[in-house]
Amino acid sequence: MYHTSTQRKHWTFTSEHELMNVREEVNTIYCERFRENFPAKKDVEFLTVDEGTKLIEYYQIVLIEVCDKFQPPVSSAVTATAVAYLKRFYLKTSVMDHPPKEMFLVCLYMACKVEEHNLSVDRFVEILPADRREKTKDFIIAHELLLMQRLDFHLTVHNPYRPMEGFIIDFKTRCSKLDDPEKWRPSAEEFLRKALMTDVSLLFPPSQIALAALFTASRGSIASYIGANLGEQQKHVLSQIENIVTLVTGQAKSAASKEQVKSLEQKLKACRNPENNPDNKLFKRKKADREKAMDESL
Amino acid sequence: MEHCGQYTILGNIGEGAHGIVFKAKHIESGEVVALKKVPLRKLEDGIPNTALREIKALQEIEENQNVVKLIDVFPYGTGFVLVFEYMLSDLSEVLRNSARPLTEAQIKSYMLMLLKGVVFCHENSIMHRDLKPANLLISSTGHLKIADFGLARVFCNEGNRQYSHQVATRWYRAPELLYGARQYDEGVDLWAVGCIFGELLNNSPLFPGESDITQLYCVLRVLGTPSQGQGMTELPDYNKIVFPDMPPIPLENIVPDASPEAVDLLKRFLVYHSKERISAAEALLHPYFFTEPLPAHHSELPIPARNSRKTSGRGPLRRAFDIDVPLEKSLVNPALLVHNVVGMPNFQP
Repeated sequence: MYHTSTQRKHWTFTSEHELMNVREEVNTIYCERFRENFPAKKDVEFLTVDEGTKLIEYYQIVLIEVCDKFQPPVSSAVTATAVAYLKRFYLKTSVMDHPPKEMFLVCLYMACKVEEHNLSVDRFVEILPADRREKTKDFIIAHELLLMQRLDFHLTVHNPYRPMEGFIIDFKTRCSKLDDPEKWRPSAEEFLRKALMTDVSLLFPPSQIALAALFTASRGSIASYIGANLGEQQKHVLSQIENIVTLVTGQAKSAASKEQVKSLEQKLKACRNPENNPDNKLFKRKKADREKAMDESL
Repeated sequence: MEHCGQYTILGNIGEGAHGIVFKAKHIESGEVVALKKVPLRKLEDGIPNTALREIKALQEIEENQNVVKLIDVFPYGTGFVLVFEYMLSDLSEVLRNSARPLTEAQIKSYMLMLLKGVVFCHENSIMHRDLKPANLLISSTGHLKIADFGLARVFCNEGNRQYSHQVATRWYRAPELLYGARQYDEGVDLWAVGCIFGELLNNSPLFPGESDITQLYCVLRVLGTPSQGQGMTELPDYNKIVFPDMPPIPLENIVPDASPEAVDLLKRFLVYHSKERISAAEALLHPYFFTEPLPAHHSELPIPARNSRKTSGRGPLRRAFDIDVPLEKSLVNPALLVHNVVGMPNFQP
């Protein structure tokens, strides 16, 4: 039930402004801590919130493309849940702490488990080139707990697909003479795919996102259905739909180009947290310490 | 004393397939809880699905009287720890330890609490899939709460009990699962509720199969060979196991001491076709709960003390009237009481 969900209580924000504040805070905290811990690197140039967001957005697209490669295919819910994890993770963590290039596969693996698309980690990494599998596998297993922790152990994600099916069935029962909702399906799905690239899932309930998808796909012909069935609520819902549509289709925000991503990642190399860099000796030392402490505690 | 996060470990409660359960105390508030440690070392595929399912289910539901409460989750060492409210005992222990069979009123009370918990889960789209007496915890006030959402059973305090519990799970397994159904619904919980109900009525398990095959045999022997249209014959493993044709046995004969209402309710749970089993919400409205004797108040339910079996015979049970003892031994000599009797002027010892 969405109404009592952790999504509604903890992961739905009131405005884009609020989201921006959260992201700025995460960024500021990271920079302060970095300066404290590594005083020698005082000239380091940090990624800005915008630059970080660009990287996250880029890996959202990569994640969606990776999802398309699975055989048998993963459901839309797996993709959407993985994207939601990625978004939520970076509301608690800076991209410089744990770069999205490394984390997006952890999000996807966790989403597969939670959405019950069961496959072993060995099968999972088969979507990668052979030489990267072993290393990625270790990385995923080592970072699952971190991901869960940053998600506050809130694993359930309510996606718009189920409410959309519900609306389609309802529309068929109530307004079968008006139109056939089946023909809206392709463009509604396309809308939801685009919506993954935006913050709408952090701002609106999934049912409204589903309505916005059908609204766009039906070119507004669903408005009468909303009017007839939502009574007093309709004004509010219609304005919410409008907001969602604007966010999803309105701004023609172009995705970062490969070159841009490359240069951002170059910049990231200098300012990332060396303790979390698998190729850095600080990381290796920290890992060894941790394992030793664990062995002693058991 | 050992610490775990913000808790002090007080002792070991039990061990399950996925980790150890400790009794612990929150250092700041003094609240006593159960800590379920889920270690993640050397796990092939990372965090086990069962653990994720349990967290997933319990995080999303609001508090309910009859579902054990997940208080917190925190990472610890290589794994993480689930913090639950502490529960004194479980229904399997109550069944085993009570010196006499549960009364009808007590059985009704347990069934009422079990069904309320199941209604709540099903309303929240959660199939428990592993309902059995050992997963029904009993609080110090006698309340029953459903536990173990997706994790193997954990609360047990006798070393040799674990294995038999692996078996126990099978006893409550719905026939569609025994026939290898890949798709099933919350009907599997309703079947388990039926089995638990039968066990409460008889004070012994209803279908105590020793293997998956004998389990099926136990069920078929009572319900009769399933016919076409009962949802069994199409299942993957149906043709792998062939039993001789058996007629159903009337449930009245299986639970001979039960009231007609009890038998009627039991019949509505133990149906082959999962969709035809009575829903938990509907069952709560069954005449069984509204005929005398009415469900007992929770204060009238047995509360066995954990880890102190010596005390299990105390209280009202020991004082129960024994018909085999000569009458004079059951009576208290009035002379012994005379000093305590005040204000009975005509009393002559």
